[in-house]
Amino acid sequence: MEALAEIKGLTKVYGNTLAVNHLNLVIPRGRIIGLLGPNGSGKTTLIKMINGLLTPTAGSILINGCMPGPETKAKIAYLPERTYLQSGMKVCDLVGFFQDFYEDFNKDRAFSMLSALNIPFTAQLKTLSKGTKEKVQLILVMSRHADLFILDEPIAGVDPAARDYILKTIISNYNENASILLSTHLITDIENILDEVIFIRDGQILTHMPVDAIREEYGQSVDAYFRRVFAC
Amino acid sequence: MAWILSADKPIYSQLVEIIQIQIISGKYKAGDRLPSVRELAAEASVNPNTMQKALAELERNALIITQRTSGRIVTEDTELIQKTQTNLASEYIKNFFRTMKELGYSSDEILSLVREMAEKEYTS
Amino acid sequence: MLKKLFKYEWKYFWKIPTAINLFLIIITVIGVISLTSPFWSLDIAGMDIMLGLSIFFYILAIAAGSIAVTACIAIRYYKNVYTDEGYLTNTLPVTARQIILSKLSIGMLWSLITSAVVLISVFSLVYTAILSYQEMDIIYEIVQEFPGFLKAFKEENGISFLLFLLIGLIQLLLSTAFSIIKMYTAIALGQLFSRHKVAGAFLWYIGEYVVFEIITSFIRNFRVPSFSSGLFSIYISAGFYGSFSDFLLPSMLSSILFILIFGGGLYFLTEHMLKNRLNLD
Repeated sequence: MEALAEIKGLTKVYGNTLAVNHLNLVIPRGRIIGLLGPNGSGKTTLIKMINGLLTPTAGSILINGCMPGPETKAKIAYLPERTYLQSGMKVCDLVGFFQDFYEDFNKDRAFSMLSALNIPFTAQLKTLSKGTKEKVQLILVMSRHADLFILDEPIAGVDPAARDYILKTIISNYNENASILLSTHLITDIENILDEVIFIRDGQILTHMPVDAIREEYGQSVDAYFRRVFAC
Repeated sequence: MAWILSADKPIYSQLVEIIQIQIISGKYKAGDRLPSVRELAAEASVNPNTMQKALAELERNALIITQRTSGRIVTEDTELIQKTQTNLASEYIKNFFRTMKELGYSSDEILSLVREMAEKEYTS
Repeated sequence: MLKKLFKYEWKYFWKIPTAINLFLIIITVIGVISLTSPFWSLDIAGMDIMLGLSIFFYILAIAAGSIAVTACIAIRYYKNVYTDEGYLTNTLPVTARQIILSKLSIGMLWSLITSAVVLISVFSLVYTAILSYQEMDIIYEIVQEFPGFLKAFKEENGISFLLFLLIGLIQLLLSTAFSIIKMYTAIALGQLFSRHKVAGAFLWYIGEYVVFEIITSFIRNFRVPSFSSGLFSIYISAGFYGSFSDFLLPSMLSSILFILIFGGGLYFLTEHMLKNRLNLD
């Protein structure tokens, strides 16, 4: 089967900074992949280019063989690292919004996750705490049946109980044609759910290998290995 | 046996061990049907592919059998389960002895220490 | 998808424009009531100044209301497309064209509604004033004179008044769209600045304004009136050029042509920037 995403020679220059530097990456299907790197390593820049929110300076991105556009957006479920919701909306309005625009959205799944996390359906978004808003966004994204889930720092702002629920949701949503690309710096929390990890630094890929291969080869957790590789 | 995973060993080999213990301890009895890969993965909070790999390993050891109709079941070969238990026990004991020897005890000293501890526990 | 975008654009962009229009309507109602009251007939010192001030503040409020609605349309576009909300807007499975068209049409709708409210407001105040103080009903006069006016119009200008209205309507729609597209383009080009993108948008807008003023005044030398200000100005400026009949139709059509060419150009620039040059912070 063809790869889910193929990235070749991807480069992004901001002024004098090289945020992403001739990066090559193949994302296979059916994997949960951790995108790990220190702050400013180019994780978010890479993710935004895959989602068509940034225009690459050079290089190509193909998702299911298509360049970023309406076709790829229909197949990618993206959780940005910020709140993109209009504050005047209600939670249930948002569910309707996603239902209207994404054909792969499952409304029942969204409502059952919202009730599991005790989020009131009729609450206005501006009345919710930051952590709750993040949960709402994550639930909306995870209620899709997308090919590629891209989650940028999905667990940074939520409490440990919700974090466990979210990780379990990610696992149970997993299907063999879909992949999840998960960017984070909280490695320990998610290490066990990853198939493979990508270490990124200065806009380039340093390592791309399976988690258990790292443990077998180096006899340490990905977290410990990460600390060693990126030691200051 | 809870799903507590340590950081330095491959995840899948730890999963194999935990499931073996669950079978030996009778959480899953001989002939019982196991939950699906996805359910087990969610329960353990691990990647489904890793869980799959662990189950495949257990299948290779014949502790788990895949049936076409009813999914994965625990073997009905109680002898094999017994053997697995013995194997695990001897592994733990080997490790224990190794650690104790690192602390400077001889085999005899270890045995008498263990006996002493066991009697104390028995009387109390 | 376009239909759904319309729906949500309408659903989430009505509160502030509605509030502004309600404000304009309330001012109008207060004006009409005060004009019909005997207050203005009282013989008090300083009445003239008070009347002058009232009219001044009325005009100020009407102008502020119209500008506020226009600003709202620009802010809505900027916020929904180029700030955090843009992370959702630009990852919907829709094209850049659908995004722009949905916002443009709802923006046009609000712009037209506001223009209509302003027109009705001015008319009702003038009508009430004339009715109360000149004791003349201009609606009655107009209805009386209308058939004669139609006939005279046709004789004088060579086209029927209905056709004139129709072309005028098209021109109104186009110039409304043009004025909004000018803002969208400025916002899109403002994104080219690495910082101070809003200030950049203002700069571009001023730049566009100057360029179009120059183009307009250049073309005006060829006896064509101001393009973007619509029907009314043509009718008035026609007076300055004498012969209305040779002048009216060509000037309206060339005005439409002007907007189609330059407005179309700005539209495609805006679409290109959103589709191929998007760089969200």
